[in-house]
Amino acid sequence: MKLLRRVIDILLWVSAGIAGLGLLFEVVVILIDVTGRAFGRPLFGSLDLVTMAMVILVFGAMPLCDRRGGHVGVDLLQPFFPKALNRAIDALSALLGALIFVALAKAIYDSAQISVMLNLSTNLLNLPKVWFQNSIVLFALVTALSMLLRSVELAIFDIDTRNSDTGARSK
Amino acid sequence: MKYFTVLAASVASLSLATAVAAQELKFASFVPPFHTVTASLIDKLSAGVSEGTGGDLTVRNYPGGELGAGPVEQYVRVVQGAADFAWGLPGYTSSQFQKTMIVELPGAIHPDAGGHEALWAAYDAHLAEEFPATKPIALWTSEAQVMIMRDKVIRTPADLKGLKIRVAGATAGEVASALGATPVQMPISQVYNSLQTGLIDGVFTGSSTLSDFKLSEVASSVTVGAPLGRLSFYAVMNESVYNGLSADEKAAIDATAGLALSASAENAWQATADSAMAAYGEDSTKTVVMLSDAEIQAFADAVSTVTDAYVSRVGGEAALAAMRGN
Repeated sequence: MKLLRRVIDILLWVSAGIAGLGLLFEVVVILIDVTGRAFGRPLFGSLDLVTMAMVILVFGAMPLCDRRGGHVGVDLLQPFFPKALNRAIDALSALLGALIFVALAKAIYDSAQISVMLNLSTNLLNLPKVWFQNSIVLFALVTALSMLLRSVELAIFDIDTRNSDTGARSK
Repeated sequence: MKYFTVLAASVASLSLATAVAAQELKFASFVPPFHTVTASLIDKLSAGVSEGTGGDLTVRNYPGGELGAGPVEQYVRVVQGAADFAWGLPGYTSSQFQKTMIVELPGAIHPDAGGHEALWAAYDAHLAEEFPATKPIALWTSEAQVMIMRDKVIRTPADLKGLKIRVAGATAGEVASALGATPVQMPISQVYNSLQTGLIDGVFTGSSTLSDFKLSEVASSVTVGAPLGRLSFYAVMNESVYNGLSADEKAAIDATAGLALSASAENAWQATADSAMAAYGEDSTKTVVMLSDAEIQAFADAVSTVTDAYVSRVGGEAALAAMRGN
């Protein structure tokens, strides 16, 4: 199990690293575009680049966001529930999250097939949309894997990886 | 026993009513209900289909993006079945409609020629492959494009140098580039805010947008006469839905769709453009520049190679010839 966690952690850090590069790229493109506009030379195709980089940025960061407990959680009733029930709810929530991300990956995959059929690309730079849709599929699957493993860790080993990088007992 | 009889009769009536209820098809429109497309195309289609089927088949308009807000995804929306019909601009997904968009280029067809006639003349042999999984029910073009500017007055190509100009698609983008501007692609629904906030300096589009999208409120000048080409439009129906209809229902759609419906939309676009320009010209705070022949020639010289280069790049010589009636 530890080996599996390690492999998935590597995957999600790679994914987050790509998202970080996407963010850096996005900032540089906007900086060049805005500066260029002041000198009458805005960047050609900047909207294409910004829109597609945003896809990488948002979905690439998703696995790490879940790993670190970055998603919004409602814990109003948590103090009133017994520890075992809270643990069960957390495990089920993670499992449900995994299913949602698998469904998302499937929907985007189907959409990517349509993009191929219609030869869709961005309008000015002609970047094929399927590249970015396939990247969403990969990022969503990594997120789903991470959530699934978190669910198993909670249910069987009572470890909540959101509490620390190394894992700790669930609260 | 009496109650049982009443209940049974009610259930039977309800079942019968459901069985004979009219089938309603959904038309996805991303613009508000007052837009030109509603009366000229969607209402006409709806009336024609209802009349042709005695009310068994109806078409209901879902304006304002009720079936999905993104204008860019209109075609995909029909392919995926979220809507049975939709209308949109090939320019929003230029890579899909490379040959269809030839009609948009400056000089591709005579300025007085009907764009809808040119598109349908080329459709079967050259354009059909760009419309997979759908059945086009109307293909038409807009009035000639004009330059709608936020706070600049354009008289020469040099005036456009370095300005950020919104275009509808790749062909208009090439025209803007040839004139020294930097093209920015975005759906027309985002143009009002972009002009207002200065994200863009101007827009190349038809003058009907002055009223259809209220651009007259945020534009200080309009330049008319430059050869910027025109916009093209499509309205399509999900092919599977069409194939699933009865012979009578298909006949009703076929009788309504096509050249006549396309002409209705194109004529309405032109009429809206004329009245929008007239209203804009009456506003003393606005500037309307009507280019002289010499000024038009300067723009024509700047864009002279764009059409041939584009047609050659997409292998559209035969499609262009068909659009010109050759």
